[in-house]
Amino acid sequence: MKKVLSILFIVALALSLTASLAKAGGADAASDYPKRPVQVIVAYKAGGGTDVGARILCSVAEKILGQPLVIVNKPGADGELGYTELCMADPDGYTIGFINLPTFVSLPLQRNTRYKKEDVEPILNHVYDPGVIVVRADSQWNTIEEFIQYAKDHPGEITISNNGTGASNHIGAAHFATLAGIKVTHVPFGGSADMLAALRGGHVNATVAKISEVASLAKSGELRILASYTEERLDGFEDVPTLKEKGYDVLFGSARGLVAPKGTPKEIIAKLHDVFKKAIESPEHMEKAKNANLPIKYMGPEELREYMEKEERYLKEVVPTLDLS
Amino acid sequence: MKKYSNILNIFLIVFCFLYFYLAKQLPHKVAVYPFLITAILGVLTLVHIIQTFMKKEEGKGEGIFENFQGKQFLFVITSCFAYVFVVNVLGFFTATFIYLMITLVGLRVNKYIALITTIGFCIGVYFIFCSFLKVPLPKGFII
Amino acid sequence: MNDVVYGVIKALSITNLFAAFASVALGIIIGALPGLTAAMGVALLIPITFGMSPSTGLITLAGVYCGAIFGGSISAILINTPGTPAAAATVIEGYQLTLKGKAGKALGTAVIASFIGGILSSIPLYLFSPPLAKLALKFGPAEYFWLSIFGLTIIAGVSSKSIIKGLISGALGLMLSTIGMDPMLGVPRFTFGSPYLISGLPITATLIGLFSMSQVLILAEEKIVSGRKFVDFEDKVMLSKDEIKKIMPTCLRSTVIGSIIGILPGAGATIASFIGYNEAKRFSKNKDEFGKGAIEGVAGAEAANNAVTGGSLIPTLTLGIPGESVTAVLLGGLIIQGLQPGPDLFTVHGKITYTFFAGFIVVNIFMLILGLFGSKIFARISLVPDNVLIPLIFSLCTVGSYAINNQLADVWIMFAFGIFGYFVRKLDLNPAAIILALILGPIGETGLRRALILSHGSIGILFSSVISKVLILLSIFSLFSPFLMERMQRSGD
Repeated sequence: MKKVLSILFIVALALSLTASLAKAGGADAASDYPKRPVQVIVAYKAGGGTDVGARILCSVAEKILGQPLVIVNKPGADGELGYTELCMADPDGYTIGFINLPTFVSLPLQRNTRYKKEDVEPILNHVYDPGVIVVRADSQWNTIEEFIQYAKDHPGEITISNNGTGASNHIGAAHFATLAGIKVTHVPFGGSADMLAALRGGHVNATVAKISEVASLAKSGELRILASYTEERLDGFEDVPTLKEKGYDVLFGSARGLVAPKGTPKEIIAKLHDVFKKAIESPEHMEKAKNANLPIKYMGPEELREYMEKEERYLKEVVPTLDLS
Repeated sequence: MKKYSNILNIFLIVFCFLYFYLAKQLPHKVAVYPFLITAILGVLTLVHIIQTFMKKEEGKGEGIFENFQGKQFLFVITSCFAYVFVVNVLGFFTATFIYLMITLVGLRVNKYIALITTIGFCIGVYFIFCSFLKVPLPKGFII
Repeated sequence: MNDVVYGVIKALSITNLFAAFASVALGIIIGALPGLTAAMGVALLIPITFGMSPSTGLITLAGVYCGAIFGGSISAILINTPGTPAAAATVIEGYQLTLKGKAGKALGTAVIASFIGGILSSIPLYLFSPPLAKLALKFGPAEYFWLSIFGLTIIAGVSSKSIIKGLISGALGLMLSTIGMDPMLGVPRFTFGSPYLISGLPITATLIGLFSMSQVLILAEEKIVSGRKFVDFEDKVMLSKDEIKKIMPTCLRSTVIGSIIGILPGAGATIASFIGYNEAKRFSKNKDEFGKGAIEGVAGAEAANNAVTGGSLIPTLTLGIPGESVTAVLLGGLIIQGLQPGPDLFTVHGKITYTFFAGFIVVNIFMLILGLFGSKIFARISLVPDNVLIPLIFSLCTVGSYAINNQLADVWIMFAFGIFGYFVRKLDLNPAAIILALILGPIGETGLRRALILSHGSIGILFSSVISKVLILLSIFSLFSPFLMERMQRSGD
């Protein structure tokens, strides 16, 4: 009996102690934001591409913000777990997060996710990584025309690696193939590192990748970029044609933006936008981003929202017409 | 010995059928590999069943639950379950404090030693996990 | 060459020595705590290395990496719960030694084997990085398929009690490995609609459940005696000359195995340590000791998993393709420091890279020193009474499984596998075989299916390359060698 009593006493003590501590928190007004560290959700693993970008930006931005930006990695289910967490967080400005596009809008279309695209409030865009078609430098194709011609003569023979069935690179490759009227074999890999390794080891003929992943390999002469999925030719690769100028109207790339949960006060969004915009434009950030091969592209909140809508329309209207097998 | 082999056999057969049933609902292309594994496990189970029958009743290894302390086992598993259940409500430190105290005292550890261990553990976790490594711990309404 | 000398001098600077020392100590603690893995340790330290100079930052990460891989063996040996997945094979012999009151000896063996594996793996790292990395790229889908088959043949070796039960455990592991998104078609399998299972079972949480929590339940069901009854706790940490001679061939073999496995992207320390253990057993002159506490078994596993550290740095640094999950995290740290992997690391950034390499060696030396001194103290943990251990281990299981992905769902998965693991052990199935199959299953499945897509359905691709043929031969040898060796021994008698 004595034992039970003492246990109960301990429990009561612990509860009362901690309950009084809990009151120390409380509501914050938007005016003196931020009063405590801000949590930044990254829906991918520590050390991955998104994480590296986020850490580089946040290390600069927290100096301007005056409060620490704490990166919290919530990986799993292609980002769905982290995105859900972000969308459901309290919209008080103390939880924000990075989203990847088109993944963020494509997941709700592919399966029954617990978040919607509308559950977030865009702050700004940080990175835009355009897609490119690459082959090995020692391959027989020097131009995109030769590549298409070969594919036309040998239907289904060319193998193109991607970072997973239905993932962005797969869609990019399939869209190009459809427009060019060629039949290729798509080979899904576990991620973009594996997908590139397969190309570099000569196990597949080509791959559709993002420029940041292949820029240094193309410069060192190991890989050759045949074409880019951009409006204009890429900086540093002026002799690489765009697919658009070759008559195939397809643009594609991945963007990484910063968002807050829906309902976050407008003043806080504006403050965060200004802070992060300043951080992006700072020479320190630009230098670090250049070293890490991050293609920076600023977009404001409205522009980012529009971009998300555009991506969703593309996924809804164009993708179902593609041959993704 | 035979008794436990038979329990295992029944478990394996049930598992095989359950897995097969779930795999059958998948699209055909996706289900090929699961079917293959079902077949492998099926064959292995069959071999094991035959082995069980061939083996004579042996006394060896009799009663793997010979020294089973039912009450104590149930106590530990319940307290662990309750701990995981409340850790996200009460927060890591509160829940751990209560869980450790109750379990330690329940397992007849001297009260003072229990208290010292509990406090020492919480402080240790706080320093290593929270202040130095910044490992996120389950947060609750309290702490 | 200048860069090499510069690197050695720089690595011996006070700052770097201190960084190496502190990070190894921290790594050992991280590794020893059930639930905190090497990958997590490195991930946790990345923000801290932000403010350091690149070489110091990298040495710190290497220190945590090597320390944690060794540290995992401490809890594996003392409380039958691997601190990191890589130590799952160490449990087999290590805990048996502890039960015999030889915890110190087991720890000593683990330290020395880890040191040999780690330090020797720096040789290929220093000398042959670029060419070896090129070779690793030759591993295509077909080769990965055969690698996983070769890995699976080990199951017979790690299940000493009953081969059929070992194989059944392996098949159960393969089944569990199919949970999650279909790797080729992106259709969810056996997820029951839960988003938490879409990426598959979290390996670490599953492992913590299978080994650590099930150990809690095993301890809980027996009558608790206060204080263990080790009659004599007089075992020495230091190995005798004879013992060192005994484990030396095993260490060298495992170092080669670990380095090769490390270089291959995707295959990591866990697989290496199982192969290292199995080969130690296969070639041992004292097979009877295995399963009852053979120091060769501990050495085989530990030398292999520490050799992975050097090996997996090779493709990480030269190709930017991580050799295993820890170096995948380390790669992020590298990029944040502004170092792009590739040939530039050895030329433009040669000074930093070679300082890092020299630091890697320093780190291994500190690991040996700390390990030998610490083992005497660590070994005392095995004297902590069970009724204190039970709640403490479980609390650490909870922290560990939560912290991997910051998900409470992972804690519940750990809990479920704890109960599953309890019955697995009660029914004499083999948790090590389940984990091995869980890790190898996806490598084999994706390898096979990818190879068949590449060859447009023709099965010939599986037998076309030289590497495939070698792996096939190795698998056949591995399958039949127990029978052959037995035959040979019998005819010898």
